[in-house]
Amino acid sequence: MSDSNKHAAKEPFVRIAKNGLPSAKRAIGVRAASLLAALILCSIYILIVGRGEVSLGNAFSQMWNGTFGIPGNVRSMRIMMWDTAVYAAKLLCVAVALAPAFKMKFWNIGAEGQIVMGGLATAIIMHDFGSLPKPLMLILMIVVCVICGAVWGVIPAVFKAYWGTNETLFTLMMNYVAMKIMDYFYNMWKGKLSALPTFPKETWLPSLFDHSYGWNIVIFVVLAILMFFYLKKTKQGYEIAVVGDSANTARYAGINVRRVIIRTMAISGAICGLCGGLTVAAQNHSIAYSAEAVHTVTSGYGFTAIIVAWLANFNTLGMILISLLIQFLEKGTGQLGNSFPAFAVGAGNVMIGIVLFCIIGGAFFLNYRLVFRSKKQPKEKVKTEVRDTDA
Amino acid sequence: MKKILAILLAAALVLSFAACGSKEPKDNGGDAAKSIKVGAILVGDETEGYTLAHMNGMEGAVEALKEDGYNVTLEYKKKVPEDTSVETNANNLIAGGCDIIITNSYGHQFNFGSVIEQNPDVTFVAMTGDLAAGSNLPNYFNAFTKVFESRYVSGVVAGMKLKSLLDSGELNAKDYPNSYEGENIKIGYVGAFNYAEVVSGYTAFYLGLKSIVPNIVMTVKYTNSWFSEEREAAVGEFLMNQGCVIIGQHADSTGAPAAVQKAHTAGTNTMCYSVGYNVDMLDVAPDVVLTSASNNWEVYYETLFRAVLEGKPVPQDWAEGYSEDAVYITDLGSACADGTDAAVEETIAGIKDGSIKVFDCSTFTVGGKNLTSYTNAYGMNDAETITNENGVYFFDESTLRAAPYFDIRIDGINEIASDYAE
Amino acid sequence: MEQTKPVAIELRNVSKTFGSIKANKNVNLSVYRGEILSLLGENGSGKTTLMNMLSGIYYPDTGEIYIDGKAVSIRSPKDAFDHGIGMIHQHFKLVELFSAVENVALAMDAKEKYNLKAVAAKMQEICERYGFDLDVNQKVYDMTVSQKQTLEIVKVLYRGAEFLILDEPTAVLTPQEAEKLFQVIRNMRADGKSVIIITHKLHEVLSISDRVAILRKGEYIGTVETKDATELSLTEMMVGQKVELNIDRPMPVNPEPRMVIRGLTCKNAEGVTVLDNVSFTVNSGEILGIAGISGCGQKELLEAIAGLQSVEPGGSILYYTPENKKTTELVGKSPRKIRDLGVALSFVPEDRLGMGLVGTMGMTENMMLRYYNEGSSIFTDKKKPRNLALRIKDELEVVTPGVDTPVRALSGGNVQKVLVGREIAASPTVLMTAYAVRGLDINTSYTIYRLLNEQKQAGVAVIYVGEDLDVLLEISDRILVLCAGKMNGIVDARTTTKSEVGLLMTNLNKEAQQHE
Repeated sequence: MSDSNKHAAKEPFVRIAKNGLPSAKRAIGVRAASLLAALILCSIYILIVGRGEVSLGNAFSQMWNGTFGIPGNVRSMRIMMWDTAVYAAKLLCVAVALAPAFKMKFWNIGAEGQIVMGGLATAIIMHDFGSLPKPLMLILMIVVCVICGAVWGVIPAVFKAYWGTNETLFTLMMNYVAMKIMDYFYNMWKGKLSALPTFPKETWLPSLFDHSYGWNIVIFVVLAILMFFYLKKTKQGYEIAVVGDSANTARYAGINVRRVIIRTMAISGAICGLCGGLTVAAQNHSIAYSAEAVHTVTSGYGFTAIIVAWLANFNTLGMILISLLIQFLEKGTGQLGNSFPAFAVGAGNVMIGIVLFCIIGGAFFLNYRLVFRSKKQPKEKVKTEVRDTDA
Repeated sequence: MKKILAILLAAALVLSFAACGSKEPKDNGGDAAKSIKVGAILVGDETEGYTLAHMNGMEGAVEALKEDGYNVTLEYKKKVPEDTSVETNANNLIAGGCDIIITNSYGHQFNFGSVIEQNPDVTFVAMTGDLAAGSNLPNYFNAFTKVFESRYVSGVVAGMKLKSLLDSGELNAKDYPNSYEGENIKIGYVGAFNYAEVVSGYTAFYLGLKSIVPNIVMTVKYTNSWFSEEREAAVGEFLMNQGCVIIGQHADSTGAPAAVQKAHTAGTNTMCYSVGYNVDMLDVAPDVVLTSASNNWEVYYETLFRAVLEGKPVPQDWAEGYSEDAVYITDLGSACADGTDAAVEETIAGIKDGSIKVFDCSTFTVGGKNLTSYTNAYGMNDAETITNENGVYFFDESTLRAAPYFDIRIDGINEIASDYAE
Repeated sequence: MEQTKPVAIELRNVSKTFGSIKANKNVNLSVYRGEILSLLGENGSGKTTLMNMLSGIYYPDTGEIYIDGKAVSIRSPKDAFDHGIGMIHQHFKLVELFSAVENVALAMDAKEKYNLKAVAAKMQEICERYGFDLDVNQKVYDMTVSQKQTLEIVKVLYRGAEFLILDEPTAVLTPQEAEKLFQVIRNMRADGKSVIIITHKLHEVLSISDRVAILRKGEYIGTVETKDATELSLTEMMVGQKVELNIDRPMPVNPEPRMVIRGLTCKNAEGVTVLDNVSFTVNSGEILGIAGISGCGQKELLEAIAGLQSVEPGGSILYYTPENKKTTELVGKSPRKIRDLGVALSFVPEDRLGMGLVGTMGMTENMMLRYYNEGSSIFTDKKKPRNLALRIKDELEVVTPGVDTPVRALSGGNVQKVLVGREIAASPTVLMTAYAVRGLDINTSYTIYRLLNEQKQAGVAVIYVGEDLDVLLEISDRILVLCAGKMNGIVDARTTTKSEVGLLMTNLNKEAQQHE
């Protein structure tokens, strides 16, 4: 290769440059464009997978029905909206639990396990202490699930704070331990039956708005609001943000980093535990077996919530919207599968993937832009290269 | 009970249950009473043989009733887990105008909430369930098939194969010492869970085999999963290595036949044939599969839909077998022995006319003794399960209730520990 | 300049700019075959940047590189290797879980056959030829720093390097290990290889190299034959003539001891002593400059005072309260404890966004950083910090879209104004600054000098850790020189010369050595 050729190849055809802070206008524009792109890609996908037998209008109206009920059918709308609300609230609750940990850059992948431990603790009360006076039992049910979730969150936090273990792997592995513990109880209580019946009705959380899970929605939404203020307005929330930015800065500011890590994970785990406890006490009235397709205590939200937390940029109020969006996608694509055999076999998941890809991909353009090679040699260099000039 | 598919890969994102579709039953100008809408709450979807069999059954019933001028519309809710989603989906299906609600997994029955009481006009059927009769709700029913009959027949098919192997001298203690335990020939069985449903099934299979070749012993090993290709293949291989000549199964994947086929294709010195379940497995293992025991759910669904359409009572704890063609065995594989067809026909005829009792107490012993009474069946409230008909004692399966309750461990069958945690 | 050896590498008018910083300006440099060339310069003089352009990590903005007389373009480390150039970085690039031979095998060409035995044999051969001491089957995680360095060099030689660039190779070695390394380097020279050593240690330069090339502030100063050079001549070339900056330096008014430090010794995380028995006094109303090559204990010294670095037993930091001269021992106390004791200590750390500020937060929230915890409410008070932020924004002319814009989005100078502004607003009695003007433009630098002098005149004891000797000489009242973690003397800034300080920085004097 001749020398001049090498020079010509020096500047790549397209390179990535860091943007300054995005303006509000640009942020809205990028988001809108992402959703539009998602809509267009999903439409193309529906037409291809549906082999022309499924019209776009029909597909989207099925997705709508699956989430909000059949328009005009009040009964159906009420049923589906409540159902969407309770699952969105549950997803919201887990995302809210993850928010402080993630803000601290503690990657708590262990929400599943923390939910399971909370749910199991409550289930033990329902199964074995049903004879206690109801108010006492209810208090006990809430207290134990919060404590068990918190303990399950604190264990990896202590290891991280004192011995620097990797919290991602640690919390992930704790999930499987928790699920196996729940399996043990499931099998013990099930005995020779092929599935575990629900716990006696006397042990359920009282209904609210005519729904056994009414309280869950209220409590989870209130938690989201409280967490918003906790992170934004309190000294502990401030400490979390500082530790998340840099442990050195935190030390410089006189923050006890270990204490903050442990305390924050206790909160994160406690909320997950509460989510599990309330799911068992008010919604499922039973526990679950980990080999089933869907773990009905967690609904797999320990993982889904990670996406919610990120998409909402750890803003717990924004998570309300994102949770609803995810519910729409899950239920909507599920209904697509119910109605059209072509979409039955996981095809809906692809659509969820398309939408998330577009949203997350769009966020890239908030912080970066593509620079195409211009004819003349550009003077400007990629800014991120700037660091100390000498060691 | 059934079906908990393990097929899910990225399921963290998917919890799919949803509202009634906007499809309104088309009014074709016929009598309104001749139209009904059926909502089915299914634990799986068409990727999974058990649920597919139910869907095929319902669709077959719809076609059959169309000929009588009845218009039945189906609405599915797929992949519904065994939790409150059952109640939600049932409610929503009813809001969409459904007259019948069907669930197909055992665990679904615990999660109806109060929807059955609140909707006395709607007929609820928990397939394979066992709570309806005791619930005293007039609109709540259970149903099952007498699949143990087709398992018995599939045992006869396997027995014919075994007999021909012995008669021809292909199978002998010299070449295959591993396949013998004393005088007895080893048989294997891949079980899902140690529930009565499975015990009933493998015992029927064993007794069918034994009716042709008396000197057999059977090893049962559980996968602790209704559907796991990987586990079923591993257990299948294990049983093959133990020397089992026939491997039956009560688990839903083609894992075990595929493993046997693999050994056969590789030309290893094993002699082994497979009997499947639910669906024809010849595609996967053409050289080694003899047949599969299967259900014909269409028979029940047609009965159910017709009863509701015509305003007749719905049978409680419906359980039928060969007499109503509710069970069958799939087409015989090329590996089957000559004369199998005749033996099968003879056996079916015997079951139909009552001359053959699957659980005839004279054909098996427990602790060396023949039973004349058994009142310990799980969940049956000490009811007597053995009937004496003209001096013949037999275990009366699926009569007291639809779901199987034969949970006796008989001599000659050996359950060994599972490699998989419950 | 007469040379019998042929020119192998030649750099012509090479320049490299990062943002507003000119790291290299029209540098010309020749490397001969079979020589040891030292590349000498202060911190920030552009040595590593220049070598990174040879090894393919950076591409020059302008200028050419010639190898054996032919112009070449080196766009990646692979290109560099194709030309026989291999660099051993300060931070080793090894897979900890692999053995030595596996690490070398990683560097193999994709077309080569994967044969660990052959690789090991060739490595053995290289080790024997040059006198390396290396167990090819040892796992990297079991190796000492010196062994890892050896492995890096063997790896580069294995790939057929003719030119080896070593970036401050002795920084991590004991004197004995360094001597062993030098022997190996001499063996390589004998074998016809060229070795470039990036360093700022004068005695090493003199003992090993054939020639010395000197860079100062990104510019090429010249190349001298080692045999013609002395420590003094090299120092003068390195630090250059005194440049008049015209920074104000008022005379200290009523200086009195504010902090007395005795026998301070610190170890880093690896257990290496990084600050060795340092004792001095900090006076009110004066600026104490601290000079030294980077990594000679400056960071640990300031962090020890701030309560962020643990101190070995026997050390003492006594703080004298201005009003009543009451003394407080700071050693063993956490930053919060020190503050709670009423010690008004402000600290502008070297790592502005990684320690002094929270990059993702705006000015307002950064103002709260060290004081958010005051008061008994569980909520933070944002009113006061907001007012403070607005005041600092006005007074120091911080360019920012708003006091809530994340500070990491601001330019370096504005970031520093925010940090210094906050630390001064706390009305300290002791103000410590580390590299307070690094990377700042002239105007901002002078703003910082002005602020420091204002503090000094207000009676604050100011500690100024710096790297630019011209600034240190003009702003400080006294200069404490650190060399390899030891105190190498305190000089009067008004009377000392640049080369005196330069020599103290690069040469441990006899007393300090004996003191050891």
